[in-house]
Amino acid sequence: MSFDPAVILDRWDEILAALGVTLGTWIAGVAIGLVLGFALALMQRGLGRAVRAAVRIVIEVVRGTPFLVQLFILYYGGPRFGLVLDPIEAGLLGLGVYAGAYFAEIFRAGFEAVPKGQVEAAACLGMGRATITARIVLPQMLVVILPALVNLVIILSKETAILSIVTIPELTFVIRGIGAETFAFVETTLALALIYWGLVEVAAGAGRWAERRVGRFLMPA
Amino acid sequence: MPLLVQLLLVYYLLPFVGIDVPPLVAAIMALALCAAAYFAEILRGGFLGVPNGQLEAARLLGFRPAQVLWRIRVPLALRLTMPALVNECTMILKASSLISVVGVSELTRVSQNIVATTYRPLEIYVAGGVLYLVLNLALSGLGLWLSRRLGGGR
Repeated sequence: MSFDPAVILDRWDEILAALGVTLGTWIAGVAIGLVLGFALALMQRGLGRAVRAAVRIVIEVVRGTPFLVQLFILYYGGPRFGLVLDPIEAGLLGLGVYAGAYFAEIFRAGFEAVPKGQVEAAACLGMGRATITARIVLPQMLVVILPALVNLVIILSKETAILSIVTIPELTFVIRGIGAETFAFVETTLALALIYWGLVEVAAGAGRWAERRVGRFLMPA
Repeated sequence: MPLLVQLLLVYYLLPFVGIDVPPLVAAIMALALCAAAYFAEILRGGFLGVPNGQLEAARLLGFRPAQVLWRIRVPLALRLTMPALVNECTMILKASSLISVVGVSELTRVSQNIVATTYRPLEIYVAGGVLYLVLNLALSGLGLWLSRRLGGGR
């Protein structure tokens, strides 16, 4: 066997388009997950015991089963209960729900990290619940949970590779396709690994920058 | 990089450099490598969390370096990191579903095969999911029991 990087270099435009799909699904999945996770965390705080228990079960089930199996249930099992999705829709929904369960746990921990006295003080000053959450609790907890958020966002960038298995034309799918066409499995897989590594390094760098920036707001211990 | 890519890398790269291994062995190697990286990070944090006073006290009491390591540092670090270690174990259990991609007939792969013959994706995949969930709940339960036994870090 020989090593021939031309296999990859010749199809650079296809790979760039696939990288776009990877970035798109990643960002969309993170966005859906953040909104869903925040909603779940709020439901666990505010509503009655039955709702809290139901949310807890949903989170445990999503966190306790593999993302791949969740995708299979959504994409292949969905039509059985009238949920017909194309691969991208199924992938985004699946990634969003998966991310949402993990984000919900981070937000829950964040809510608990804000001292109770602050909430009580804000209530004494006449702030409503929504105002307290938006102006007192959220800004403080975001500083505390930022490292966990960054960590999860990076993990999610790697989960997008699993979307290739339900035929979403993202990076892994396209590059594996090129490998199957040209039988250049080693070159393509190495290129794939390098691109993801670069992606994760860039994301981690951005995360470190963000952590340094909010670090100034941290209360001295 | 994604575990899926690591898996493919080990699967394709080993034969390329002349090492022929069955898919199962390649899959286990990839999983182990990935798990080792995470475990190393967790344990590093655990070792940093062991108070210096404990080590100094052990040395003053005449413990040899190997004894300090195995009797003081390792047990304390394990106790500190037990929840994180158990959590990582559940992540690996879930990640093991990915090795279906290189053709190892594990739970996910077998589910796919059954679906291919019965055309009942919903039932089969939900059943597969339930099995993973039960295994994971058992793991977390074991983890809780272990951390209680180890005294919850106090």
